[in-house]
Amino acid sequence: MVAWDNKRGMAFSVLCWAGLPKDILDLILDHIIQFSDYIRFCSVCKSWRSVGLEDNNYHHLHIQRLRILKACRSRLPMLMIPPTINNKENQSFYSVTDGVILDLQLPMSFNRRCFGSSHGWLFTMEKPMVIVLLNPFSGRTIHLPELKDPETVYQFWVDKDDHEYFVSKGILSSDPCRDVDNYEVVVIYSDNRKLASFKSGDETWQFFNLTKGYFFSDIIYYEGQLHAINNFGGLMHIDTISGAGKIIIKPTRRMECRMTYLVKSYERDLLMVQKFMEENEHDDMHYKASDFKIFRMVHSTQMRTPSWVEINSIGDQALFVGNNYSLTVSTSDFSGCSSNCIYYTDHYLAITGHYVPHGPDDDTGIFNLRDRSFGSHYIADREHLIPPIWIVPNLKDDTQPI
Amino acid sequence: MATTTTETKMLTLCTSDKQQFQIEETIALQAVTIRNMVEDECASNVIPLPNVNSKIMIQIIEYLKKHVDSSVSKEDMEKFDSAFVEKKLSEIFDIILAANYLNIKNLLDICCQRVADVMKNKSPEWVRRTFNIVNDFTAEEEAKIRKEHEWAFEGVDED
Repeated sequence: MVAWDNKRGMAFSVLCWAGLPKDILDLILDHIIQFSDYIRFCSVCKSWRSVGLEDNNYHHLHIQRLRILKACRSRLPMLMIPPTINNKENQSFYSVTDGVILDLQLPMSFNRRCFGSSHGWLFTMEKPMVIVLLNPFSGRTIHLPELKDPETVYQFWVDKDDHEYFVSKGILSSDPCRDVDNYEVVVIYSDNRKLASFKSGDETWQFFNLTKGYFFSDIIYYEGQLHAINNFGGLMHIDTISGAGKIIIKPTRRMECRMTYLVKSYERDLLMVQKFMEENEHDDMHYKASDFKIFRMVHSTQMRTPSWVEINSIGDQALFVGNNYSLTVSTSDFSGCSSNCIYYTDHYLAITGHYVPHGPDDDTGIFNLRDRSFGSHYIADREHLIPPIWIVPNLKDDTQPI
Repeated sequence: MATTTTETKMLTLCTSDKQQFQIEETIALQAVTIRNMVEDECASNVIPLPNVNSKIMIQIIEYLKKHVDSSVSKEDMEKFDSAFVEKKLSEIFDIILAANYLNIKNLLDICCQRVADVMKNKSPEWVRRTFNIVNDFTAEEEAKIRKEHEWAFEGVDED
């Protein structure tokens, strides 16, 4: 029985905000747009939390939020599965730990190749030479100044439909939402794989004129500084203020491979991951991974400069590589994620040219270092318009203008 | 009131504190609960509304009168709505419960929107103080909740 308060004309049981009926709290939740506001709503009291996190709620928005929250809580990379010809609207995400695909209705959809994924932001180029950073979860975008190199190579790309292939990869030094005035964007651009950077607040890009056309294949911030690698094991440190490059490890022919990634391990070592590829016997433009090798940068006492030393195990770690900012996760923290493995995904490579969808035959899978075997994670049952990419969802949706 | 000389049909609403309100039927029927009662003919003369007091009823009638007027432009209506919800939270609370009971969807919506707006970018502590909510989490539970999504608690407005 519910007692009535005659003066106010309502039941005692709902005389406080915490005790509002579920359907009213649901309505309030419907009006909360920002993720951060939603998370704080769920932190006010137990009754609000139980309504906020209820998982048999019929509201579409609510289910969406819960799925995204769950994915984000783990801080695990998810594979963004791009739209197909038949479904250009929804963006799907594959969760490695759960082995399921989440279909999400995001604030934005896009169907251009993403050439970077860093701190939850994707890199795309809608208009020629204008890189747009976008957070698919918050719907925020940042338009960068035009990327027009002094050698004017860009002119060759400007009128082409595939202009986004002018850039092979892009990374961020930090989350632009968190570090509004102090973030840096670095890209590998043009067929010569050169580097350029953009600092928040600047109006133009800075182009690095480094020695000997180094064809860079990956970039990473290691110990706060930009490092770049080529496909011959050549490691360079670049001072983004002065623009000077310093060779840390010299490239050699015997280190040659098809694709090289730089990753910072859980123990904060710098790792070089080499991907070897073989072409399909029926299709000479279709390359698939045939082997991986991992090297650790070692400073030895005998040698003045560091060198690469091959390692056969990465222990309780999993690496996530592709066109994303290369990542390591600790597998002891995430059940469902295999240890001592490399999770890789297809992306544009110089040898293969543009991404061509091969459906289930995409170059995507898991390489297990323990027995050097190949396994699979997401298997494409359709031909995607653009390659999939790893992304660690970032829900921070600062309302301050960037 | 000279109800006999006009064709306008009137309804009498009786609130929890036994106050009676005579209003035009077209105004009152915007409340789905009242419409259902009238349609079911279970309200011949006086419609009892035991869940709404007279203080709140006056405000609800003000809202319904404005919204029945089809000559009001969309912009003016939005202006009216945003001014209407500029009330103390305790009043919003009462109006929410009444609007929920009377089933007036728009009114419920704008009040819930107001509540959501009040909480925007505010810390849980601020929300608890403002809405008079007791923190029923243990210290450990609260620490765990915060740790899950630390970023959401950074950069909130100063209390």
